[in-house]
Amino acid sequence: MEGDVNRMDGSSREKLFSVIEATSFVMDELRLFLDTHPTDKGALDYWSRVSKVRNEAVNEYTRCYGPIEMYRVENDNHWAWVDGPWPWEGRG
Amino acid sequence: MWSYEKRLQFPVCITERNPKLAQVIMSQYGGPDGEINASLRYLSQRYAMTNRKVAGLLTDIGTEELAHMEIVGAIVHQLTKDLTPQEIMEGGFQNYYVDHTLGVWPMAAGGVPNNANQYQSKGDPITDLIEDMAAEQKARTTYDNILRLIHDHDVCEPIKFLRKREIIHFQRFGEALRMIQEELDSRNFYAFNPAFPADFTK
Repeated sequence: MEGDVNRMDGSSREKLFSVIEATSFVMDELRLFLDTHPTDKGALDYWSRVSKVRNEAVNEYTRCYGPIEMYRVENDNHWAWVDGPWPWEGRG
Repeated sequence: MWSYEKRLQFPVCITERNPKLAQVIMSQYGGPDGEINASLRYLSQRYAMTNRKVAGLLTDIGTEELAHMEIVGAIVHQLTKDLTPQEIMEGGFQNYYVDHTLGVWPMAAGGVPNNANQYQSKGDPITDLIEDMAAEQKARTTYDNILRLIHDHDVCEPIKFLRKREIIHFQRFGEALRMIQEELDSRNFYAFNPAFPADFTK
């Protein structure tokens, strides 16, 4: 039973992380497009929509699994920022 | 000011080590058309950029290149992680290994150390943007060359992602160049530095 819970936890963690990856990339791409098209209505609307989804995903991820962004670290007698793994280590 | 996020812009998860590939891909870390040079080129050019939107674009692309440097570093690291002395010799990795062990150090595939002489910050917006467009194409060509040599899906996917970003950056720099040119005399785009008074011609 506990094993099942862990598996569920692992897969929802991965799903949440992939939402962060995907929405972040959309915003990386929109950022460059908007730099040279600062009044493009479609891109501006897309930015607002994706930004909201990303914010929610980062908040939820940070709450459940720890910080990915240093300014969001909240201390609970332990400096969670340096808890592994680091991004370059891979997940394999 | 920069703020680090504990994630890669594109995930890297390589299961099979390959020191030969690592030596080739390493060039996009510290080589002439690598991600470090791209980032330092754009971030350095910002100060003389006369158009504020284009200065913003240089900041944002220069920032994204830092994320690409991290992706390439992750690929090199995962391709060489836990190599045995035998694998090092068989993979021709001994010359790198003797100086850097299994650390990641910015150099070209041919062993040339990372070098600021491989890019310019000329203080001339048109000159700099044309260099930037060339730089994106050079990096794209390098990724094309790498993709001909690799077949492992885990390695190809992040490399293909990086290659696509070069094309997008080229497009954006092309738009930036157009924005700069719109502010200038269309009969005389290339005669003067728009960032510096031209009274030396008097």
